[in-house]
Amino acid sequence: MDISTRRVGQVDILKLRGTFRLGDAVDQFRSQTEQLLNDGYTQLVINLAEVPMMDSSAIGTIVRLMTSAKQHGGGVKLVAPSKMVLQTLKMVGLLNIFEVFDSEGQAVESYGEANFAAS
Amino acid sequence: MNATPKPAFDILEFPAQREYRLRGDPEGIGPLVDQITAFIAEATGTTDGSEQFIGLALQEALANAVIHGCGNDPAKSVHCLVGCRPGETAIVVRDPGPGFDYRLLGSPLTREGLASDHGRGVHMMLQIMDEIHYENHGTELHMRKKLGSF
Repeated sequence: MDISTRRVGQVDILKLRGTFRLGDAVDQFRSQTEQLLNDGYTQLVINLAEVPMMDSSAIGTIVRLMTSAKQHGGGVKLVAPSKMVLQTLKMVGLLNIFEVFDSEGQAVESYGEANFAAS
Repeated sequence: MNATPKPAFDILEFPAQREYRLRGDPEGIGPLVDQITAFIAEATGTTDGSEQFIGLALQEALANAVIHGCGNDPAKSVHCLVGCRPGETAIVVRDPGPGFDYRLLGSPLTREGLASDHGRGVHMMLQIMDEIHYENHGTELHMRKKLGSF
């Protein structure tokens, strides 16, 4: 899985591409997001438009990330999950726990951040 | 949360069968799941993408087998049998571990479960597959799915 990141104000946007599941993908995501939290960046947006599937390991990683981010006054918001990822999140009761947006712009705006460049 | 009673299917009766061995290494799970999912799509004649959900259930099953059955030890291995016929697939996953009782697992839908970073795999398999059943003290998983019914 490929992870690209960019920052808008105090919001970090992570765009994921590929299957998000146990192994290198989860390890890499965990490592990068832990670094962001350690550096004080706790307002996160995760773009899932190009993630065809997430397993329970990936879901658990995002849950743990949200818990940590919230403890530091931030959060995790999801963008454009695929139909399969939406169904998976619903299956495990998390669809109502995460805020889900259609675009990165909407997600960033929800943190109250201005000057967003269109994605 | 309950698995179904002992399955009424015998995977050996499915006309298209493949057998796989997976070392106890998490990195090997994803590629094997992709390979098996492609086989299922072809052998069952599925064209609506519903085999991807079976792939997800298989991902969870193999992850449990590798992590808990093999202890992530690549010297150990998981045995996977896949049987297909038009519109239906069955899978058996066997691991060398000590086994477990799925009935003792907590629900991931409780307040504690939702906040947890693990414990969703068996629940996901139960949601996706039409039948799942554990044999041999939890070291052998049988599951079946009619495609297009998810």
